[in-house]
Amino acid sequence: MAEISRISSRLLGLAKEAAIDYVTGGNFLWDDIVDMACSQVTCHERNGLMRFYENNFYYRAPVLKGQLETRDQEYLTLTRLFRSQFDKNHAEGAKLKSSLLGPISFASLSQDSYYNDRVEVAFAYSKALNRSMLNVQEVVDAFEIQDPSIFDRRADQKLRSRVSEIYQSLVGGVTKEKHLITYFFLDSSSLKQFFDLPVDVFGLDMIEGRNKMRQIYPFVKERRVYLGVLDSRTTKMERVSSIKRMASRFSAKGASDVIVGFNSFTDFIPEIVASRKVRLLGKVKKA
Amino acid sequence: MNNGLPPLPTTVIGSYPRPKWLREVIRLRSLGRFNDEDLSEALNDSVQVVLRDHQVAGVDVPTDGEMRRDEMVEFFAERLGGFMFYGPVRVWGPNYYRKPSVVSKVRHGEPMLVDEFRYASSISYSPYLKVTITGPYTMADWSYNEYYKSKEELAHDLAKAMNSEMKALVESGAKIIQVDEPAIHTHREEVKWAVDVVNESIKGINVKVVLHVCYGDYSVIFPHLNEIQVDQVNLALKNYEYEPIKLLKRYKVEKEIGIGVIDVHTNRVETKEEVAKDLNRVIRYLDYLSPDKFWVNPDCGLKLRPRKVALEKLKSMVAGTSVLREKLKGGVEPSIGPTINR
Repeated sequence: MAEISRISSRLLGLAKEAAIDYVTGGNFLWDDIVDMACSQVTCHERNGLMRFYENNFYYRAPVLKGQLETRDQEYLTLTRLFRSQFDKNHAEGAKLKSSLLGPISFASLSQDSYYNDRVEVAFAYSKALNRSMLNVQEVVDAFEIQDPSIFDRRADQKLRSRVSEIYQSLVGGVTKEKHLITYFFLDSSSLKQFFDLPVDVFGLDMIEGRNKMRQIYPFVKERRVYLGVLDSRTTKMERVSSIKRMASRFSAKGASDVIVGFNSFTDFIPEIVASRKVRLLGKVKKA
Repeated sequence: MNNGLPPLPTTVIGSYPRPKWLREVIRLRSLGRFNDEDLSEALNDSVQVVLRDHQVAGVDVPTDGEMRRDEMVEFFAERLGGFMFYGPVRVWGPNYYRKPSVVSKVRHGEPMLVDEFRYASSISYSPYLKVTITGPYTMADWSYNEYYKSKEELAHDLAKAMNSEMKALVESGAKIIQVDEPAIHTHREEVKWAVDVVNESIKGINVKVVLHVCYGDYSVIFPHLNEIQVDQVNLALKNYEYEPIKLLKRYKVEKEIGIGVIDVHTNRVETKEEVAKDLNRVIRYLDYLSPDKFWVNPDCGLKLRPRKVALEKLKSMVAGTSVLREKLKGGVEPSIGPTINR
């Protein structure tokens, strides 16, 4: 844990230097976002390595052999630890967010031999995760729900068509900010459904969506949007001016708040490049 | 003329566990306690060990175990012009690799594999030593592109570079070259040009050329396999309980097929009976192909298994294949040369 604390502190220091508004503890304790989900709900077993979407990055698939339940206090204890670190070292006005795997992705990435229906898995996971969120919400300022499968056309269509009900069950009683982050995919035909979900911030991968901005604009009026403008899958650096331009366009189209950041988590690039990109984000804010 | 290969030739995919002492030598070299000459000697010695293991197991077409390669993309990126490294990137859990960035035009300079091929062939027990090379699409997909306008443009330049390397190998006497393309089926929308890129990389390579594909959604690539100008495709099949053979039949893939009968993700050693039964099932199911079209191999490289396990798995693979060979006796002579004029 000492090593994890050291790395988290270093990240928090970097985030403070760049005056980042929303930060996580870095999620260093877990192998990946699926591993993290399994610290919040019971995953029963973990199977062999599976490719994480189309990346050269692999996760151990949860194998569901019984009911999904909220796990014990482990996640809450760890989040408290990150909170205490955050409280000691953060930029003024910064908020701590907790990362979660969304229900559509969990149902798509797990292997189910209990429910025999992905929709049922998503509902059961949402229910269990909701309890975890209710436990943790006293410690964090926001939840970052990562759910790339929402826009993945290859995901179970029945599952995607029930996303609204599934999200109602996920966020019931959760009072802290809920940021829904999608990445790797951006299916224009699902944008209406997406922007109607019961969350506070709507996150889009603008690396995937750079040619779909006109289709997105009609939905952003009076919405808080998160634009994934820093590509976490390339070492090539973005330009401050391009990011500013994109953010301005969304503001001009009526978005009530525009947050910019990475398009997905940063395990896909070397740490040194991720740090440079965080600093670039600081420059965007100051520019 | 008989080429000496038995029916159902057995081979490996390429990588093999590095002996513990080699890993120690590499560590000590990184600390400056051994010099390049010591490391070179240890690498050569380890190739002898690997070939000995392959010989003991009875593998017909061995490799040098890729002893000199830490990782299949890193190795080539370190030697081609145009790449640089920023640092390690996670692949899964605590496992990282140095994913390279392309920062200028990719160039082929000195041959990358010729020395290792020459050394291995000089001590090989078999005249049919296979050389493995990472394919241009996988090189492009597993690198960051900071220079080219598109991944496709990068991949075409990589194809030219890999083609130069393969030509150098052929000139040095290589008779079997395996192009590793584990990423070729990861982006459905890119498969069509990925096929062109692989074909560009093997143009003019008139020895036996094998394509290795493993893990992932085979339905993306199988419809295009007949368009790829290789003689053989070897596949991870055991890990999928041979389900993908249905797709092979559906798309009537006419290539030689290397049947993956050993799961490289587990330490459980398959029995020879299991291997024989699996092979029998696959060959009977793919009845549109003549028996001389089948080769036998593990699903993928064995480098992540303990060496003892890797050796036992190879022994089982060969023993199981031998059982089936008895049934195929007579008239089944596998080809060692190219089946396509490239």
